[in-house]
Amino acid sequence: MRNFLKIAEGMNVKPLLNAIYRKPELWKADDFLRKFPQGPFGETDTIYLRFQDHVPVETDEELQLYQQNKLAGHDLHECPWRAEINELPEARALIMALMTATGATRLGRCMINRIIPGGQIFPHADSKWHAEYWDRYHIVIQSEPGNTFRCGDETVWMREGEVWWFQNAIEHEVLNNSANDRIHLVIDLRF
Amino acid sequence: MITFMVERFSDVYEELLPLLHAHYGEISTHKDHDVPLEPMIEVYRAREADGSLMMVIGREEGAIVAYLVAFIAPGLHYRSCLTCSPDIFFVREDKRTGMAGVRMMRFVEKELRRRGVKRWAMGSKVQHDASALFRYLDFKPVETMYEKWL
Repeated sequence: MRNFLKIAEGMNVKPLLNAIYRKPELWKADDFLRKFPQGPFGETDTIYLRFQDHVPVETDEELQLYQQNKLAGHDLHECPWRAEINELPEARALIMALMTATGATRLGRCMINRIIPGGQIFPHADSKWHAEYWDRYHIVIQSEPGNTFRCGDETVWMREGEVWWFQNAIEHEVLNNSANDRIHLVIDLRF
Repeated sequence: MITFMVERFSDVYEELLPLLHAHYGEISTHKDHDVPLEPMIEVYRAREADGSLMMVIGREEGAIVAYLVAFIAPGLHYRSCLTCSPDIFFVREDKRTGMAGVRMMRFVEKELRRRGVKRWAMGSKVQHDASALFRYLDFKPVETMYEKWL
């Protein structure tokens, strides 16, 4: 495989899963991705643990500078922790374990995505500016048979407790054809 | 919607068993000779372990509705020819009206090409003829198998 690499399995994800089940209100705290105009995540709930701050820009020129990471006073890639991480210390432990194990030097977006049975993430490729800077990892918190994750011409089912790198710069899509929610912890790392 | 995925025998066998019995009840000639369905699980596990077993599972809302099991290895007479040999395939009866069978075979073909398989063989029962399916998928008929019960 070229677009997927399983780097670990057997990670103990049950404490985080239990915390997520105990705190369902976290799913609705922020719906940025779900409501992203014409975005691929209309059927996805997300708990944002780390994400870029919203940067108000007033002109197209400022927007272009920001997207080129040249807007004074702003780092396009900086992702501060959000309040939700304080509700899910179990997630922080998994994230830091991954950073330590891989030797990453910078931590980017961290979010927990949930796709309901029958739901999907529609085909898309992640933004070039983002995918070229970061490497994308998934820690599988809950996933039953029937889940498919396609990237390019390759398709896998990522099982609970597994950790995967995948190539998010090319077209990918997810379909949850199982009878239970698919929950992944998504982490961006820089080396 | 039915989706297909390569799954592991050890993960899926218990879940698959009711369909295997339905499959046996529908098409096996063994049942007419009082030979029970009794898979040699240890052999399947061994082939899973050595990488020669491929199980493609079709699911709808998480439930198995189709499967194809095959063995992949170099031909015994043709060392350079990675070959996919048939074991069994099945689509649940209530799912046969659409394109489930065709879609499963296309998924299998894509996976076999990815693995570098050169020759893919499939069997079709005389009493449950799937020739139309295979011809539609550009298979060529090359052999008829006979059996005699002793």
